[in-house]
Amino acid sequence: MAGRTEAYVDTAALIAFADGSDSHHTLFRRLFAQPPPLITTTLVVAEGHGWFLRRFDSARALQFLALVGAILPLKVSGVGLAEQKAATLILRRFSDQPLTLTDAVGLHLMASRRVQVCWSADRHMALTGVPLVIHQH
Amino acid sequence: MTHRQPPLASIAERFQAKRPEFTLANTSSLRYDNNSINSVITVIRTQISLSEQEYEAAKLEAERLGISLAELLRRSLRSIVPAGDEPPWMRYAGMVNSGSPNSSQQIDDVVYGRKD
Repeated sequence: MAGRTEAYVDTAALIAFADGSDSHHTLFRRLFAQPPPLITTTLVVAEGHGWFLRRFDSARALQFLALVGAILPLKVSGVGLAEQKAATLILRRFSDQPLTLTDAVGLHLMASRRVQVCWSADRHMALTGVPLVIHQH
Repeated sequence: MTHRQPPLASIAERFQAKRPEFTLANTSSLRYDNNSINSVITVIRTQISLSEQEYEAAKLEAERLGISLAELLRRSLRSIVPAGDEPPWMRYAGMVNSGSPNSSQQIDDVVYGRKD
């Protein structure tokens, strides 16, 4: 794992990995089996937890949190006022797009850390030019 | 001196676990010219004891998923015990089956709701 480029993990990557029905499941299963250093945000974790809560139940949502905790190469970055302000600028810049604050914070994080690839199936995550991993495989 | 009984499950495990069975049933068979090649699957039969409540809950869940009780128990086991050399988080791969091939692209609809 050492020396490999860091990748940003979006909610879609975690859902595709956890959901065996998803069309990107096989790809993300393979990627997560031998991951490079990964980074995500607390907002992505909250979004993923919310997805399991709404789509399934609280037990599955807790299982999702256990999944996030188990992925050792995954760093979960906190989101404070500075990140929120930076994300707001991105939301204003792309105000014609239905971007969520979670997406915008992710875009900001990728730019500030010079992340080279985004693990997502959401085309909005490519708005700032970082390639989506689904287009590389 | 009091003698404590081992739990029912461990008694059952001790006496009911059988030696591995080598079976040709449910195996794939390939035939080249006059030679046939059979792959042998090793299975170990065991017996576990469940409370009535656990049994009913497991049967219901298996029915809901459209699988047998044995398959449900195997899946549950796989979610706890890592398989082979895979990293531990791989036990969560495919932990749910939503039935939707687009679930990773419709997260916002589920979490934030659809626009009217």
